[in-house]
Amino acid sequence: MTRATAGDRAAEAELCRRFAPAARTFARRRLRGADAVEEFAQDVLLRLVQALREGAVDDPPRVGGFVLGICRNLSRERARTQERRTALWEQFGGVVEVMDDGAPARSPQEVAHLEDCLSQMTERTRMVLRRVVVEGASAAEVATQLSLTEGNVRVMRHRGLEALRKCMQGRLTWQAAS
Amino acid sequence: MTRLEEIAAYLGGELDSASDAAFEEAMFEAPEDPELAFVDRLARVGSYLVARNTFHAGLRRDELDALLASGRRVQVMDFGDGGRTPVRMDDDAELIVMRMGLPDAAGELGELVDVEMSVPALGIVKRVKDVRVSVGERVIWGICERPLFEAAYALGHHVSRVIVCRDGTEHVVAEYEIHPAPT
Repeated sequence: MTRATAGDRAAEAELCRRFAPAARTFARRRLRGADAVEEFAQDVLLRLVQALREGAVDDPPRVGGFVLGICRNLSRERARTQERRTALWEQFGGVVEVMDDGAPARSPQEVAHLEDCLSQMTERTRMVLRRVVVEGASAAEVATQLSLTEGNVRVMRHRGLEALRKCMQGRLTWQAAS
Repeated sequence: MTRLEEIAAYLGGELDSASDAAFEEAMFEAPEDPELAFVDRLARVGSYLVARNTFHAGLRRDELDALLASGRRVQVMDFGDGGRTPVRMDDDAELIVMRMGLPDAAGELGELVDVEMSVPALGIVKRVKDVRVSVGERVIWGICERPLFEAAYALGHHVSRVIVCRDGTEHVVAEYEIHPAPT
């Protein structure tokens, strides 16, 4: 954080990498669509980098609260930010491109691994995970769609996420012999 | 509530406003959270798979038609109605669709079946659960991304068996032997 406030580009990028999951999760809670989520998170990090360069982060140890403040403000004014975004991207886009490091299209092994793990789950579990994690649906919404109780959906959600995490920590089925 | 459950509840808007705000404070106070990173990766890669029809196992006919019309580079491999099939992957294919015909002898079919895939020479067995069946056509349109198919294809001879459950007993109703064709 100290290096980032001193203008160290690598430290700025590391700070972006550190907060990207939180910014995306904040956005995913409010927006629908992967592109909208990515765009919101990019906007947050662009503003963070801008603030760092301008020396506007007054309390470095509280940078998390600062980033959350950016998220909340941006959430309120989002409808008015499109024009500003283009200019910021031209100015600071090079730093925030670090977000693309883990883009699915550039991570074929991870794509294959998730596909492999999902294929070993039941269709109902896949549907619950899709609705909850990808599409941001509540347990109540999923329960209505799949004719289940909210309690059942919560149990399936919990077990599905745990099973998927365990599977993703292992190896691809087809690499198990190597 | 586990951390994963808490993140899922937050995403679904299930927390009350105070818990919602507290969750956000904590998330940004400690952003390097492995559970948060896991859910984030799952959402990003999952969205990618949903957009490409590879999140679920198998396609319905209307999904196949839309995919073929989408402009994506899709290779359709026909495994026939069972038996031995040589296959070769196109150099530019990004998605692989596998047509698996289900013979009349397979009997009445539901909308979902399991497919057990194995590499006998290596003792690897994988069970793909709840693969969608195009019941009217008596066909399974299996689908996967190229990297996953490549990983399997590299291992050589495969056997795939379609399994249905009737009266509490599992039955193999079709079997396909897949051989990478010599180049």
